[in-house]
Amino acid sequence: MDRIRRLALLGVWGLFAIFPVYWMAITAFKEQRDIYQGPFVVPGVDFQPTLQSWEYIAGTGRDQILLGFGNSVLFAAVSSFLAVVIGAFAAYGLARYKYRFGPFTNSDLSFLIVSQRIMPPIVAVIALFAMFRFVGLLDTHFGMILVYTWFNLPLTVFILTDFMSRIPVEIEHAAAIDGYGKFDQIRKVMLPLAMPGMAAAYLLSFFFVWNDFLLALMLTFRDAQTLPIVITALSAQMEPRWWLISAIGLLAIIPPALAAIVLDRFMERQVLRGGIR
Amino acid sequence: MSQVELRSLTKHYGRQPALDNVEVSIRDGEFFVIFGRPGAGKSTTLKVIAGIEDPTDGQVVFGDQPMNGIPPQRRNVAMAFESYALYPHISVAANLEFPLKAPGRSIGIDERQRRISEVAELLEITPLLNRRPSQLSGGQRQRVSLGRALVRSGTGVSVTLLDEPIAHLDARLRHWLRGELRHYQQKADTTTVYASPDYVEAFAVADRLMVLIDGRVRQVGTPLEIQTHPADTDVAGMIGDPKMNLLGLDSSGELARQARQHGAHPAAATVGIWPTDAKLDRTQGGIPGTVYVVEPLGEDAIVRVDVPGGRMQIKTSSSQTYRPGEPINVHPAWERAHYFGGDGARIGGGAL
Repeated sequence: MDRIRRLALLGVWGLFAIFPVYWMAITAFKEQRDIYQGPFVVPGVDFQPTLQSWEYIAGTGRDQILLGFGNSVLFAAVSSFLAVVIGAFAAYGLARYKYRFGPFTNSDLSFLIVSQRIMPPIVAVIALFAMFRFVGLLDTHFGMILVYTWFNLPLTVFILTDFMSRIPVEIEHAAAIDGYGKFDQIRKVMLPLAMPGMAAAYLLSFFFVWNDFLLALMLTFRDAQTLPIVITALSAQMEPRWWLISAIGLLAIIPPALAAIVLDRFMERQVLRGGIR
Repeated sequence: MSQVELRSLTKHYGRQPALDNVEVSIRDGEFFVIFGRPGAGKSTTLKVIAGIEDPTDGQVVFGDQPMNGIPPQRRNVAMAFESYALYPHISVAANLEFPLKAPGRSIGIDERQRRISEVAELLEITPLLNRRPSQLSGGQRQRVSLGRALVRSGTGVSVTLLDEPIAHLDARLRHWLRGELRHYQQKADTTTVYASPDYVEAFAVADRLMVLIDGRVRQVGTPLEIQTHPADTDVAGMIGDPKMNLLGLDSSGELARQARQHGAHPAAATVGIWPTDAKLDRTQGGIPGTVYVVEPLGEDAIVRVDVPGGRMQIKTSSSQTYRPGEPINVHPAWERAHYFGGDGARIGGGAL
């Protein structure tokens, strides 16, 4: 009975998780009329698969899609890296040192940093637009990397502070006793031990940048367009070309999935076990 | 190696003093033990010597070199932490090699391997060298931690600090390693500071000890000096296995009468009698008491006896049997008794 209930729950969850992906996959091989008629579920039975969308991607739309794809990979990879590196320094400080500004202490400082993410991004976007226009960063790669790094920092600081404060300070002390200076202590001991946290923070940042629509919509218009913007642009002139959107969507799953697969190796949660009594 | 001097060392955590004006000079090549109960300030002393903690006041001096403000990595100390503090992301062998590979220490690969296998042999961790700390038991981890400190002896280490390094091992290893540590230290001729709350361990390995109570040095001396001349009742109450018997001498009691009769100091308020310095018999004389409990320990037995002034522990041969509740007479070897004044300070007695 328990087993049946468990399987049923799993089935429902699986349906929610898998069906949209399946639907996107078959939609990428449909023609517009198969999409609006239907619902057609099984390729070859309900409808005849076509390569129309892939031909478009390889042909007419190629340059624009490649541009968006490249920009998205670049922004996500670089800004997440920067957010993790800068965030690691901030987190180390918050985890290891005590700060006091009048009545405010570390936890207030942490809250101040995280509070950057409490407001909806739309609040910031108009001001950002004005600032970027003023300094000439609109539609530039540098500008987008900057804005995504800024946007992801609160998240990485938050995750890494928690992670680093779990690393026993004695292990750092041991490295000092063993003859390693501050920089080597961090490089040889703190970084490897913080690796699972950094991998997780990197992934979450990467996903956010990859899927961001709002910031890219407001701050780019040609050279620095990201994939979500390109997808929208491809459909904006006429009725939504779901077959094309789905095909690009399938491609868009690949980079974050790759990032997740690669970083999964570093996410060993038990990394701290055995260090201290 | 070098001499280590602590000059009026004081350490506060908040308002609480962890160390209060600690003043001691540890000699070059000495095996020096800091003996005290948990929380007495043993670990704090070691951490201040290592440079992990800064003293609130006072100085740490290695040789003639003041160490204040110099970070641990430039003090060239080796240390085994009570909490082990192993590097969980690398193997046991890599843990042991870590201090040998530190920047500026040009120790060749062969020499590193030789040292690692020597220490691993000593600590019986050779089969574990390729494991990660998470795959070890608590006792094995502690030995790796000890090994990481020992692997450096003889590489110009100023002082080796061992914070209860064998406390979590089983009895056999603890006993065996105690001797091995002493041997190893003498061979390498390293100045060693060893913290321990265990009387037997502390007195077995020490050249000299410092008795620390509530962050204050109460006595410094060789094990024999402290055993024969404990500075006060607090120190006396920490030493011996079983502990020294401390009995109050209230003026009218039978105990006080007998003590005076046997030459006790007139101002003595407390008498200290080693468990081995008293005999039990069923004849007349001595201090009348009642057997409370008997603990047979092979050849010897510990008999606890209620006497006027307190409960005594007496070590006797187990050939005699005593039953709880039985009236008994205690005959202290008065000529070897220790006397302490009203303030607890030693005032006499204690001949060997």
